[in-house]
Amino acid sequence: MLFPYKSTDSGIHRLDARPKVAFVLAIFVFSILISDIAYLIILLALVLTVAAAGRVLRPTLGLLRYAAYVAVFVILFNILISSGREVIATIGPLTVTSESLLFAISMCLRLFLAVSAFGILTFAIHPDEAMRVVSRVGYKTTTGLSLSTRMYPTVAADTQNITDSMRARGVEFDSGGFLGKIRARSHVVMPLLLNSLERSIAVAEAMEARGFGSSRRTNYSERRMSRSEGTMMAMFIAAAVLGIALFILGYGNADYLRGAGLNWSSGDVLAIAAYLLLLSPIVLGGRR
Amino acid sequence: MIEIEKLSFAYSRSETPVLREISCRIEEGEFILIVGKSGCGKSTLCRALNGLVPHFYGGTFSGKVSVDGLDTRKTPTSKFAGLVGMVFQDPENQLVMTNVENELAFGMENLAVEREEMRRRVTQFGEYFNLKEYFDRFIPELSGGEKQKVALASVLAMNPKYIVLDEPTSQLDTENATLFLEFLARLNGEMGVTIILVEHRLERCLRYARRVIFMEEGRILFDGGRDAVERSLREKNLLADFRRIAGREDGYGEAIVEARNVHFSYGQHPVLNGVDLTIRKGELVAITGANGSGKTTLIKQLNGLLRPESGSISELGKDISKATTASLASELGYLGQNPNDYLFEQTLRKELEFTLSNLGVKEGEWDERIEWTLSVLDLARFGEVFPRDLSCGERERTALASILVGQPRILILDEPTRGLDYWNKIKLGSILESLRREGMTTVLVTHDYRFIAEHATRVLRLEGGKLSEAPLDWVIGLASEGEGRKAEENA
Repeated sequence: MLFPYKSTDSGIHRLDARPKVAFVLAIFVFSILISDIAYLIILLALVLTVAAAGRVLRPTLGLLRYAAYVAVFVILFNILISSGREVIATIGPLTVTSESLLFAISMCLRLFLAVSAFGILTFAIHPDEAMRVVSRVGYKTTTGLSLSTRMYPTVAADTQNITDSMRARGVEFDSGGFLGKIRARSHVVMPLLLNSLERSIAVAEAMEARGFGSSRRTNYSERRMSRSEGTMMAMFIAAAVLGIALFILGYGNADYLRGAGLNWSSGDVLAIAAYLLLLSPIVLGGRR
Repeated sequence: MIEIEKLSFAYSRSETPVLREISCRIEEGEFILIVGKSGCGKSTLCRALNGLVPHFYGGTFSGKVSVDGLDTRKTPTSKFAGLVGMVFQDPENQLVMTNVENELAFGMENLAVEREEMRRRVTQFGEYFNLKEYFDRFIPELSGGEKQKVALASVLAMNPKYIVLDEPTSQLDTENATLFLEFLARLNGEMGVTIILVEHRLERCLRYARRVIFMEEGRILFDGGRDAVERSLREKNLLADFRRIAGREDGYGEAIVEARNVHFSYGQHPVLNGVDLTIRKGELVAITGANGSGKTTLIKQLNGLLRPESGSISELGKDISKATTASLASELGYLGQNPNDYLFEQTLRKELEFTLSNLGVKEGEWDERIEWTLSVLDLARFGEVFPRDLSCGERERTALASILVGQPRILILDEPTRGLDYWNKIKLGSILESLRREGMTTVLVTHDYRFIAEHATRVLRLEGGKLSEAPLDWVIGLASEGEGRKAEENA
């Protein structure tokens, strides 16, 4: 209920976490490097297809709805400080130029791309598995991270219960204007902090009693990747590397504020085709 | 064998010792029950058996504890992890992984058990505890009873010789507590694991133990076989039979809570399916029902924390469909399951002032109301104390104080006896009874059949989304079952 990940039987869920994390990382790299709108639209379509294949499209779109609020702001902001010469509309004292509009759209698409990749990470990868992938960094860090995932629903429930208690003690949460609401919410912070503090001491004690922190330890599950999963992971990493190389060569990098248009070269078509070829195998998912 | 010699201990920044010259011996294969009032030192004694005291807590330690010849002071706690397993009170705070299978493996990973062996034990204990179908389940989605079972299984998977359990059933309902205790007895009988169990619900677990240690103020007052100590336990009032405290007087006042045909569901899952409820002034109504039957959901409808999808609720003659919880708070006090959710101010007095100021009570009345509340709840000596420094039972009363100070006419309590020891429960019971005599109307949700049998004027049972009247004898029967005696003895 409170937890974003739900175990679902889909090809994407069955796939080993490592290729999935590699896929998400590749998409993150793209969302940072690529600014060309056409590239972004195609990649976004790919990620949403993956979300649909993993039956997590609905929650991912839910995340995108929040991103859309930010997008509205990004677009308005860009129009306000508009630069460029190609005026396409005038609203009162504001002029909308095609340069700033295209730039704003590109920024929004990058945001959507990153957010939808985050959706895959959150909704289609088991947090324990994701942690295990990251665990190469260090075991204690990983346990700390895993623990915070595990405790998330507990803290969320605590927040709800404390809010209920405060209501029962006469604190109004739903009226009294913006400042009033903020003040009401602030009453939740202190008990939540104290509860979490007491909890963390108890958890630390329980972990110590179970031998956590001893120098040598073993690892329970080391799932082996199948050959196809290994190949997929290699392809996704290759896509990210290719993306960096092509970025340096100037592909997918459209500077709309300096008048770049929506034109495509044959090189662009090849680059996009290469990305799709390398990334799309993820929809095949893992074996049953 | 565990040997304790003249063990004394005081927590850091505290001058009063919690343990005073404790000496005893625990042989392998025993099933020991440790009982005593909250704060008598039993939890601290538990923690001394695997070195958490003094390694985790610091403090002043004298005397000696040795487990199979290993001195706890000279050996790091992690060394004891495989020898003395420990299960704590709140399952929420001892499970660290997100799924059950990884949880079972966590302790073994720390002990550097080889992978093949870990697999074998995970399978073995998964089957023994009937947990196999839960392996992929998210721990946060399990019920309290399931979580506690996972906690025990994951400690057992480390193959300890001794298992110390600190009030492991205090957060569980009667049915789950009984299942859990029966399981412990089985482990002890079949696997020979030594069980050291701290519990305050003596009536629940006495029948499983072969030896009982009674502690008071940091000392062992008596220690012996179950039958030998039974008389002493009775003298301490620990094995009292039911005493019907609430009279079954007829003719309560006017109806002050009326719910008609209330429906409610979470998404597709219907919880309340046409609930009708009438509560009269001066009643103490207990609502009972299985886990997940919707008891908490029901009482949250009564003060606006949740709204019925259809049906009507009126209180003190007014329809509450538009009223906020906060606006109802001065008439209707609500105490949720965890008292800690109510405690954050620096002193108990400030905690009460917080409520009074929210409710808009004139400052001139504050002192009188605060004095009244503190005296009714037997908290007068704690007025200037940080509420979080108080014991579990005192915290419960403090949270109740933060509600009662508003002088509501109706009290709604969700599992008020959870985690309370025997003495604190008696105290709470008599407080509720004296409030009732002064005209308070109380609705309480609880699994504690004994508490219901002693205090409720009327019992309602929530089942299949509907409420029905339950005869008191039925509750007494359930309470007796939980305590392993025959209903006729108490009837």
